[in-house]
Amino acid sequence: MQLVLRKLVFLSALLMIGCTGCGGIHADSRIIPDIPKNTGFVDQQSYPRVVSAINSARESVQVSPQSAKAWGHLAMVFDAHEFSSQAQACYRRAMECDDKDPRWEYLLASSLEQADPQQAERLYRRQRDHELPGCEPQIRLTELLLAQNRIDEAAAVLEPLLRSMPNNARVQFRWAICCDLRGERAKALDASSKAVSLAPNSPSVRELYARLLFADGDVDTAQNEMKTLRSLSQRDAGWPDQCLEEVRMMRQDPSWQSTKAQWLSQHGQVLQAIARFETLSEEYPEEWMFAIDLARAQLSIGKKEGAVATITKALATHWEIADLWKLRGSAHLLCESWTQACDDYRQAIDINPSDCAAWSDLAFAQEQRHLTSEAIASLKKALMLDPLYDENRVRLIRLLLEQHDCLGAGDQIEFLEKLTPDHRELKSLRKACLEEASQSLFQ
Amino acid sequence: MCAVGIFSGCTKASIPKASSVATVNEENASVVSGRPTSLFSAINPASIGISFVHQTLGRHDYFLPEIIGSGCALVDVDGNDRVDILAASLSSADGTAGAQPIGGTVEIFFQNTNGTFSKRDNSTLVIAGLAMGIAAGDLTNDGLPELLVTSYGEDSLFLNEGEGRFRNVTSESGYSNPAWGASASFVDFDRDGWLDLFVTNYIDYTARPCRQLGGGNPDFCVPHLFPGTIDRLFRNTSHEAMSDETPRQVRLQDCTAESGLAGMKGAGLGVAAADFTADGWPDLYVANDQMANFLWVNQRNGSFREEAVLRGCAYDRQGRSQASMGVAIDDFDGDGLWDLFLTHLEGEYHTLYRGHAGGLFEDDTHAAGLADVTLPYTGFGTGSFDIEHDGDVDIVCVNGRVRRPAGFPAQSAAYFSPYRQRGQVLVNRGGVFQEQNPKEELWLEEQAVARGLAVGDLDRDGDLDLVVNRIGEPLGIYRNDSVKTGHSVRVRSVLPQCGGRDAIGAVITLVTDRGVFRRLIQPGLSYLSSHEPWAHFGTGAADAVREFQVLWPDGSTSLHPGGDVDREYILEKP
Repeated sequence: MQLVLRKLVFLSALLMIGCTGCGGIHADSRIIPDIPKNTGFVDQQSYPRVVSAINSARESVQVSPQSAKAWGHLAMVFDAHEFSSQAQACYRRAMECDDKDPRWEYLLASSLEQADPQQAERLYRRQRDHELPGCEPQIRLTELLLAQNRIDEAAAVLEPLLRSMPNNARVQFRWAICCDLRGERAKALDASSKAVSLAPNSPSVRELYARLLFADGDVDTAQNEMKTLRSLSQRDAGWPDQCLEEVRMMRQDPSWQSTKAQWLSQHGQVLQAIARFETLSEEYPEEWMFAIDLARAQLSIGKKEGAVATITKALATHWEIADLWKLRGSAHLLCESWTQACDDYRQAIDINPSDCAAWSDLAFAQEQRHLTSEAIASLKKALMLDPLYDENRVRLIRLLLEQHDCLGAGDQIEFLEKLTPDHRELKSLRKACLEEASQSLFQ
Repeated sequence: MCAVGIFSGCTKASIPKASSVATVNEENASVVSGRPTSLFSAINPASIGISFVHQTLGRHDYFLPEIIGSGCALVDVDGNDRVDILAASLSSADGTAGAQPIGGTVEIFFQNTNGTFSKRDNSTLVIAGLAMGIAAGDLTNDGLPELLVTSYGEDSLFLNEGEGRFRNVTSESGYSNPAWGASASFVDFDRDGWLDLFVTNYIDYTARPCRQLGGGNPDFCVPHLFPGTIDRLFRNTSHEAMSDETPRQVRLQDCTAESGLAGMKGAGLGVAAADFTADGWPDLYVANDQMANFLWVNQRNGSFREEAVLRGCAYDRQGRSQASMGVAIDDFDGDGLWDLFLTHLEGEYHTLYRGHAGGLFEDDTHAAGLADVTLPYTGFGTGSFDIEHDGDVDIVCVNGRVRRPAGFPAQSAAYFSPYRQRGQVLVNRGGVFQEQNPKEELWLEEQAVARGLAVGDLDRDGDLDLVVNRIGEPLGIYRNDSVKTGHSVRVRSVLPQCGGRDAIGAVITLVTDRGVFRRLIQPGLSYLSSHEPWAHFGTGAADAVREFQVLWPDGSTSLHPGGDVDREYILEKP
């Protein structure tokens, strides 16, 4: 009897453990976040690759519900596609599964910055720099504090960073902002100058330096800084962050896929880029931009006829898109089909009359067909849209001289001289105009 | 009778106030909602003769011009000393989805002597493009303002022929703006006595599909996907074309290239023309969307140099660009220097740049109490004026989203409903602003996709009222019913040498025993809109004006005797 009782107790215990275990796994599976129903991803089945990436990550969690890596990966996929609350829930689960990996806390904090800055601040404060190579929680903390106007607190976080990371441009940049906000201009200038030497190609760093110089009365140096600035890329790429970059690389939406393919194209891997653009064009035929990307890549390796075919196919359903007509015009130019080029540019201009490049290229095609008067008119239109595009003005002057219009050419030369007094062709154009004028006199 | 007399200067006591629950009945049909403690009361436009409803194209395919909206203007166009209301509409009629643009309109509602408004023959101006902004200024120096209507498509310039009649003179004037025109401002940049014209242009837009990343729903595209465009400056050369036989001629010469403005491309939505560097010459400020703002500093030789970054008014205090839309200029802190207030996107605060000596600016939004309260809103039209006449300048913003909030389904009952937001009244309490509780202001609980805002004294009772153009909806008209804690003075400044036109660009300083107040005559502010070109002062406890000091647009100054408060003055340039 006792043996039976013991066996019964033992079996009951086993059953209870089993149920708890199964219930535990079942409970984990039930709370794996999913894409909300009322989204284009689900309702309209837009971007199937995104859905596929999320589902694949969810499956990994279902298989290994105690895996921090699986939860973290799912979090990053949600985060990459701006499903913030789902991402945050998954980051938290990843932290519960493995509290030693600092990535999840850092990424959760970064995800919370807009919605819950206090929570983000708490998370950043728990972290230490150097735990995550290429990611800087303390610097992000100072940025958060500065955004909330907590300048002295930001300074308190920055001071030890200045000692431990004196050659970090971002630290120097934030310290310069901090000092400026506290009215400590000399310190701000000093830090800003250091930031420029460490990150000379950063527009935001140079802009701050220029502003501080100007406020300090050093107007000439400030103006020179602005000149250097204008030669840099207009859009600031921001500060590199390895952790966030890893999240970004998980994006599967087509515009991001297109950006990556363009990067391949720009870095010499054109055939790979073409393959990706072809896939995107097939998967998303309604998004004509991919046809443009594909055609551009084809043109870059001389596949002119291929580019024409690509765009012609897109135009069948997107005849109202000026950029498609314009690009096909460019392809015809490269094929030296001047008449077709003219026709296509005209179509582009009919749709979008304010496209300077279309007018300019139309003028080129008209020149090739010796339609000089039309080319002059087109160049004048292009110059009205972008008066500072000197190349067009030079072309216009040459065409006016060809037509023996010395007065018109003279006006344009005067204009060019006013706008760009040191233009390399001014001298030769003036000479040509004088020669033309003399010939006209003798005739 | 009282309903008809609302805008004819009836004393407030004779106008029945609505109860705290919004009611509409036959007796007080004009007031839709209001409370005894409200600063503003919503007026039923139809009750005062305004039948305008903003028309979109009805495309429902996230065509960007539809969410940019249109503006409004308050200006006396027929010279009867009563301010008229002008409102722009993208389209003249509902179109079907995917249809080509069929042109916009500007409707003019003339104010009658009894305070109601009415239309006349030809008071609907037909625009070639989709009508966006309205700017008013006298180009012919005959005392009657011309109108520029900016568009997605061709802008239209109208000559005022008198008695409220307008003629389209776009092509004969030489005006041509091929880009997407947004806000515009009349300004005598060369100080020759003839108003010139500055137009900011938006982006080089190609209609394309865009989808939200967080959800995959279609939505309006963000502007940074498209190239920027150059802004345009036109010198007024009308006097060269005028003769005894043809006294009213408009001629404009495009001097964009020579002025240097062609050197920078932006995504301009708002403009402000004022002397920011205190050298007596007007400068040009451009509020750009999702990129650095521009400050074109007048070099006094027909050219300008861009210095917004250097002067601290290009970005926020952290060096980040913001999506700037509407602009207000005022001296919010009473230090005699112009400050700038810009409206921005949800998630970015509306920025207050305080002016400092030397033409420098500093983002002082946090200290002014404006950061947290404006973060949740996407602001457009804005106006700065003293609502309660306590001597401090307040701010009104009208708001409306440009992106659908996360989680809002794409297929909703009304196309524009996810974009609605309420407006804000930000009351200045000694340099720090406090948001007026929307529960105290019923009109603020009303949500709309608001865009243009024009400020003026519609009922000639000495305080300033609001007109708001809202996408797809009737015009919003809000009467200032605030309990006044001080006095007010309204000033019009005119140039007899220039046909008696308004002295746009003049700076009026009002001196009292309690303090000095300064205002700029520049109606071309806000967003796509034009305010009434008068200076309005709340003088607080000051009950007399000692004198007026006027800095005229040509740089000369004059003094004018003061007098009582709570009245209007007209100051003429000697």
